[in-house]
Amino acid sequence: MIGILLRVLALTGLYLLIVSSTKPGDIATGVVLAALVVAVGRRRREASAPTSARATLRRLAGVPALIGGTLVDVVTGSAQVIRCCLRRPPDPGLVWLPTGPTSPASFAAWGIRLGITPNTVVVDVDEERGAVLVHVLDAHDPETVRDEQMASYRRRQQRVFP
Amino acid sequence: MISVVLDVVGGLLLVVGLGLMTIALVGVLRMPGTYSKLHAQSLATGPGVCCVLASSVATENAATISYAAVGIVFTVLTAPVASHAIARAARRRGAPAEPR
Amino acid sequence: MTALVAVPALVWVTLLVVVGGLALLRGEDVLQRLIALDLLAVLVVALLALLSYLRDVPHYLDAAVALALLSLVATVATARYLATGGPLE
Repeated sequence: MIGILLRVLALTGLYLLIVSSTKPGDIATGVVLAALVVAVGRRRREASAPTSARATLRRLAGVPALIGGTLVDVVTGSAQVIRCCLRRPPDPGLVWLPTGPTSPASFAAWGIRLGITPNTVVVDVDEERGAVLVHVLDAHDPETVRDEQMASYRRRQQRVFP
Repeated sequence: MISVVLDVVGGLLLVVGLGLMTIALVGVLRMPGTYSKLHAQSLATGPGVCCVLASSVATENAATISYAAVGIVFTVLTAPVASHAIARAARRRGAPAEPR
Repeated sequence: MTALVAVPALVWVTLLVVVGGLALLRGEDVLQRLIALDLLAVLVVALLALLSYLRDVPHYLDAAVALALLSLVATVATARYLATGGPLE
């Protein structure tokens, strides 16, 4: 229930940002459109296991850590790439990051987090094995890269997208 | 008072964004290999353009700021998709690299 | 935003667009040119945003967002086309 409300609220917010007004008529139109989109989306998706309100609230509590932590990752990653741009990149290479079997939503969230940080580029996704192939600029020690990314996943993302 | 603070914040964000774009361009010109160029490019397509759009706070115009917010949301969601598509194409076309 | 900040920024981004054209010409293969083209689209988005700040016309940012989405579609379509090795495969 909370999930549906949140989706409607987020879509209404996006609509209001695009029309950039807070008149009551615009808000009503936005709510109706968002409810329509959410209803169609639920109809098209197969029935998933119902989640309790407490689980949803626990996931929501992790959202600030997810966004703030990703911002920190973006800043540190940008600093690393800037250093490599002005000098030579040390040792670029591809690294497999094992994620274990996870949901498609988790893969999508991880892909966006890895893609928006400049020091990692997602090259391939193996959904059956549960692994992501990333390219990093400093890959002379793949274990360190793996440990760093897994620690970042556990600290920032695991509560929201397990 | 608040206007001066917003001006300073917007100016700083603008300078940071333009600096990131400049460094990204230098990186694209200098880095060897497709993947490495992709790292430099994602410096501009992610944080760089977000900083430039976020500097709209200095205009103090509600419509401008809300459009810029929409732009930031779309950029954050779409920039990884584009760079992943290019990286995947590079791997399929046989860029010389072995996973470790 | 005052013209004092926006005009030098516009000049600088225009210079960057020119240098980006150089990067487009210097690319070794088609994917590197695609990267340079994506970067050029981002630079033009920044140019449109700065123009909107300078003239105080919010609707230029609409064009910027539309250009960003269009460049995403173009990049993904071209990359997929190149990954499969052409339309005949």
